[in-house]
Amino acid sequence: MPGPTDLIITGMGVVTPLGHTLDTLWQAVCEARDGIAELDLFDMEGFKFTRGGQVRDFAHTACDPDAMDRATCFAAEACSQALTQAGLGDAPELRSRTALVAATNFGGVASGESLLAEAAGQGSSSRRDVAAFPMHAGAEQISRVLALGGLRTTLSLSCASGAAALAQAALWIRAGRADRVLAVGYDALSRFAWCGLAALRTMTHDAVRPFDANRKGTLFSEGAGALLIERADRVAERRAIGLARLSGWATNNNGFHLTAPAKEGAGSAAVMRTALEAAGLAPDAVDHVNMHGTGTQQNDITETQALYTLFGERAARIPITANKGSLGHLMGAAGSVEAILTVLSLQQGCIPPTRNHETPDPACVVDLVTGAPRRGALRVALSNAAGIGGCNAALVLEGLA
Amino acid sequence: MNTTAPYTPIADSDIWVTGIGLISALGCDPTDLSEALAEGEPALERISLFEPPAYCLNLGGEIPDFDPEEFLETPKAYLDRQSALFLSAATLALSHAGLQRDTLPADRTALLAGTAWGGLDTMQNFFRDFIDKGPRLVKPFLFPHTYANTAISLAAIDWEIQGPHLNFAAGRIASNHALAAGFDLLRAGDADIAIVAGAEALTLPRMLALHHLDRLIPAGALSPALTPFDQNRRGTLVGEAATVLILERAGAAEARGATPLARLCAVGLAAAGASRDAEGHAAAEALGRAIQGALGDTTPPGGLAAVAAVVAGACGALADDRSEAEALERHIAPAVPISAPLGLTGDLGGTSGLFQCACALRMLTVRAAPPIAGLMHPELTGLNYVVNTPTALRPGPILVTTLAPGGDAAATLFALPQATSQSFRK
Repeated sequence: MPGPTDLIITGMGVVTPLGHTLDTLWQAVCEARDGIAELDLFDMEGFKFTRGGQVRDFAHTACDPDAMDRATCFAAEACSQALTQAGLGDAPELRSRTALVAATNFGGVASGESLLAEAAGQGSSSRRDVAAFPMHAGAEQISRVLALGGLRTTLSLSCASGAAALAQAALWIRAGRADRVLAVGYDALSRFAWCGLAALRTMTHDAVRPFDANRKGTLFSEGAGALLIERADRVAERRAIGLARLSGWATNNNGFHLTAPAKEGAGSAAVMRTALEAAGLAPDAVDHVNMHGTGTQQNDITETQALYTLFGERAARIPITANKGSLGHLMGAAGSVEAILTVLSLQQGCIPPTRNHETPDPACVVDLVTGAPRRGALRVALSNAAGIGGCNAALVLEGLA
Repeated sequence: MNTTAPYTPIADSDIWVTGIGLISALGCDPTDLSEALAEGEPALERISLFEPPAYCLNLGGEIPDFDPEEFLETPKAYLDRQSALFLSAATLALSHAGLQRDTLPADRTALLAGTAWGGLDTMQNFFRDFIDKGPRLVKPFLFPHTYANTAISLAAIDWEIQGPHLNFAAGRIASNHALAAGFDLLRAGDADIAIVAGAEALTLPRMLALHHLDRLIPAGALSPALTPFDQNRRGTLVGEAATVLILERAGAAEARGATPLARLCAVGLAAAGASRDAEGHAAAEALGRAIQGALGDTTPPGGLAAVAAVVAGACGALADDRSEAEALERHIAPAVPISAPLGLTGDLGGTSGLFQCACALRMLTVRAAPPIAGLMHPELTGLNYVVNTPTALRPGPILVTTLAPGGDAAATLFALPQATSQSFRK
């Protein structure tokens, strides 16, 4: 039974290359479908890599495309879905007291490219583009279109952003600053981001193959994931349906290197351990881990090492999955969409398979779910995230059966 | 009414400020800052970092002759200006607090930061290469420095800090949110030390953005002076700074023999949300809620006379200055002196709030409130604006108020550490 100040997830929403509803996304990942394709969002002339996870057939139901960047539109749509699932779609009074934590790597940079060009003496930018560019513009615009009247902020912690948004939401609730917080991670593909990510030399012409001996790199995607978190007593008061408990969370930094992972995954191991301690749980309690699993050489090795540091030899027997095999790397949305898939795993008693994993890597001896979904009772799951700059975030999620 | 009563901290556990690091156009030393505030001479000069277009006024709060090698332990030529400001201020703050790399508890030290624009000059340089040369001839090493979290990550790497880590890219209110996170984490026992930073660099894209959003004094203005709260103000100017505060749980600080500079009593946050209006009343109400959050929910009508002074965030912005004054009129007693130091520096973006906090900490020490630059005809007249010369302060806590475009608001309360248990409420 949840205690009065437990944190309960009551609503979730997604926009991804594999679907714009929870049902379509869940079905797609369980069938290990491929969200990666040739990009046509912008002129790909001159780019070395041309495949990624583009959101297509996106209907603007909850956003203002005249004012919002594409990335913010994704976030607004995901937030709207989460509010609806939580029963706040027609509850303006409750929405007026709902806080918002938005998290992103690049915010509205697609809109800001014209400002950067103007600064370089090439062209001019419009007021609309400038207003949609700053990181904080997304949170302001989302709160306006969805009539959210609580606190709001924006985090940017590279690819740990989405998971960190949930941690910050939990901090606000625990500190008494809010009773109900919408946490959304989001990002869109843009010329700026694509050019830079390609320059990092982490991308591949092959598929994303998490923990595979033949993995060659990652591919980037766009989208958003939103989760509504509430104090358990508030959930009970309004007789809402809880989806899962957010029982632990943590953020940290490797304190090691701007682009290289920490030796033996020390930062990832520490952030997962801290999140478990915050939940009051021992590592033995964990039934499943949703991995960051980028499909890069270094990430997958060090994340495996982090598992062994935390779980000992049991690391080889804990069922894990890596959604990036299907979805690609959703950047600022990765941590939140993967948390959503973890909640769905807890609810359904089902771990979706990791696409494109064909040859186990002797350096990554893990129980990776592949081929078909694995069914079984799940009570506690970890979702792990990391990003450039050495940022880490981890979430402990518990089922409410 | 006992207007001189010491205060009761709202917090259950005391949070001390034990170090300040500052890189600003008003100086890089707390004493220099106090003197510059007292003199009231704006640090707004012709910009040397870049050549603004003709449609922008060539005036800003640039830090003259800033050289990070004067502050950093080792040369770091790869830093962009925002990261260099951040790391320099952090170095000063840690030194001020008496903390060394080898004694910093790595996993019990939180690092929280705020910035509106991050490494915007590196973004500009990277994108210029993309435009000029195409995607295959950009400089790969630049891209990791374009992230909004680059500066905080570099600080974590430099000092091997591995505790809670949050980077707020929340516009003008960003460093206030970082401060609130540090306060909350320390009070919850999640860390013993919180390094709270704000850093914003003066860059051409940032200036252009504020120009397009009609926030800057127009190029053709009769007077280019910043005049916070004045009825004839024409907008703001861009400035730059980095501010870092070291916060510690009192017990941990005492155990290592640290000297407290002040007590961080409370941080109130609020946002105007969806109910914004052209007149800025919703923003004023948001700031009012933030003030109530900082001072406690029992604020009596007429405000808190025992607040010794207010450090406002006004910097000449047309709408926000009025909203801030409206909130202060509603929640602060008329006699409380109001200062607005950003009139000397210009808008400091995401580090505005933390820079104001540094000013408040100096005001606690020197017991004087500095004058507001250029204020001659207040738009709202029900406040005790400090003009011309500094005003001596009676003992009591100092309130910092910050309001961002869009209605994000923060209020922060500092007091001297030795203040005791009597109520400061009216």
